[in-house]
Amino acid sequence: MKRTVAHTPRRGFTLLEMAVALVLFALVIGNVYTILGGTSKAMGERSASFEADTQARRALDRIALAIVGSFEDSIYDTSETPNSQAQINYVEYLGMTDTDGDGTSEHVYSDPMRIALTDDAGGEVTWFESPGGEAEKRVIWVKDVPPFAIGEIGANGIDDNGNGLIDEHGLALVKEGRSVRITISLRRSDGAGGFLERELSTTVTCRN
Amino acid sequence: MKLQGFRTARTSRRGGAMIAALLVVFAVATLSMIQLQLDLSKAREQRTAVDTKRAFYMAEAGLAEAFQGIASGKSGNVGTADEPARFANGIFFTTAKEEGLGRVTLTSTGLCGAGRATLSIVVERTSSSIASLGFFGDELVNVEGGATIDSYDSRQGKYTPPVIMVGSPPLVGAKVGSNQSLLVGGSSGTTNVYGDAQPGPSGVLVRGRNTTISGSTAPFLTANMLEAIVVPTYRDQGSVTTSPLKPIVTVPAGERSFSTLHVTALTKLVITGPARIVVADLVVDSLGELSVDASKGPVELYVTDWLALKSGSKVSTGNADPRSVSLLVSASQVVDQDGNGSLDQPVTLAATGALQGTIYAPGAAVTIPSSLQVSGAASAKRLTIGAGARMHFDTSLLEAGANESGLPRLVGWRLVELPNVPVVKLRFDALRALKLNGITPVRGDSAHFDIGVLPP
Repeated sequence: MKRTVAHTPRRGFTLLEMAVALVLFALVIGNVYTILGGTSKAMGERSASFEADTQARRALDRIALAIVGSFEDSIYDTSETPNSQAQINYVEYLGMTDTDGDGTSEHVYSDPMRIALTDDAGGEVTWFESPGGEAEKRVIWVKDVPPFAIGEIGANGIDDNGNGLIDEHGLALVKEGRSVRITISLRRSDGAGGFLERELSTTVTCRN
Repeated sequence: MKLQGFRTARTSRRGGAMIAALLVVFAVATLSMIQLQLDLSKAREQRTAVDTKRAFYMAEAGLAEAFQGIASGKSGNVGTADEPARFANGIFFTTAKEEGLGRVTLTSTGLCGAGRATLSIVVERTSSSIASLGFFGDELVNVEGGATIDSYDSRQGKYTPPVIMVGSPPLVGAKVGSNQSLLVGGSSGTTNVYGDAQPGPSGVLVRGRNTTISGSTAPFLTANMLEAIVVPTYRDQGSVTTSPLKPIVTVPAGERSFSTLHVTALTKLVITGPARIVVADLVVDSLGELSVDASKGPVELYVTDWLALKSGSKVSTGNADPRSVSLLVSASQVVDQDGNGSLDQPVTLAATGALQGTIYAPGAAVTIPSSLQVSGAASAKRLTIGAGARMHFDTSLLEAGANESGLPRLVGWRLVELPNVPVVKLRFDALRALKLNGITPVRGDSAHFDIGVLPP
């Protein structure tokens, strides 16, 4: 009972208690803030990197599948190593249909198609159907494609990045027999004053 | 009362710290959950991308399985959307659609995890039969001066001589070949091969004077095996010799075996299809006639010892489809067959007339004279096409029959839209879903459909 009576009047905190509590709280909050900030930044970087990887890979796959399904004879405007082109024209095989109703199917081919590095939105890979015609359709497959590949300084006639191609563009296509070597570069801001750069390459063979 | 006051003070002081701590924990937990969700989302996206690629390869496996099926005489249908075939950790089903002229569209859908892909190819059935090689010899082939070998398609009608106009593209389609050397043309006459003339891998092509070859003269990369004839066995019905008393003898449709079929002068032997006839000696004397009627079904004539269509004899096959008349000679021994003291070749074709069919004599030398016009194909151990002869290769023999296997030729490949079937619409692993429904997919090689059997 005496103990209760003795402590009852002390309802607040002493200055020392408050100071210690505030310091501890500040330390905890500071640490949490630092950890969360770091984590958030790392998450952002990883997310941007992942996004760039995914977009580059997706664009490369789309180009590759288009070329795989094209007629080798229809591919033109591509150069041989160490030169390359930033566009490819092709015709796709669309299977067989009985177009004249005689009971026997005929082969059907697509309108002319093109995949090209364009600069309408600051550097992008664009797919065209019937390019240049009245019925032209176009779809941007990926943005942030630089005018020259990663490591290429410019049109200086030198293979700056040592990949065997001279002055190749952000989209570089090289025909090697029935195969086409595709190289695509992506360069975009990382939001912290730097740039994220990706370069992917594959070689595919025309099936038709 | 004082005791209660003490407890109230303690409680209020503890609660403030707890709320602050809880806020911090809640914030950290929330951020952790967000990060976890993001990571899971990315992992899912990556897994989907990997599954899509696996599904693509699964669809390729389906096409390969169907391709193999067509090569071995199946329809090309493998599995169904309801009961797909299994391959590794995925499933596929392939549908085949006949497009005419031996072409088939194969469409294969592959499913693996959450990935789906559908691919389509068009293939063309080709024949693996020796008849598809045209006029072919295992050893030397000699096309004598003045001979002409051209081609036609019996599916478009009977043979009509081509009209050659100035400036028109060269005629092609004929086939002459050898596993060794090939002689085309001689010192006299104009020799024409309107198509390919190909020697064997180690052979040479020797052209005579005034010789035209409009197609390929590149040697075969590999030799073409002339396989031994498998002669069927039937009950022997003895010998049949025609006589002026009964000038026309008919061998009715069916499967029969004879020791001898001897057609004497001024008589006629008619073989009616569908028939499979095995005969040891088939002899047609001068002024005798051998007639094959394949209008009601194919005729296969096996000769095991001696085939002699003597000079002055006649052969006729009507307007038969060359694919429905087969003359198969397994004889290979040069012996005195008629006991006149001189050796006889196992095959003598000195008859006149027109043979619309195929001749196959892998163990014998065959000479086709100018008096016998062959529309179809001929293969022999050694083949001679006589001076001034006219041979017409039937290009329909290039296409495999329904029951014949041959490696198909790839015509086109493309990526197509996914089919609108329930299994494709599943948002998770289709293989697992099938197993949950009690369906265990079988392996691809056990899921083929025969020709004429439509998948349910």
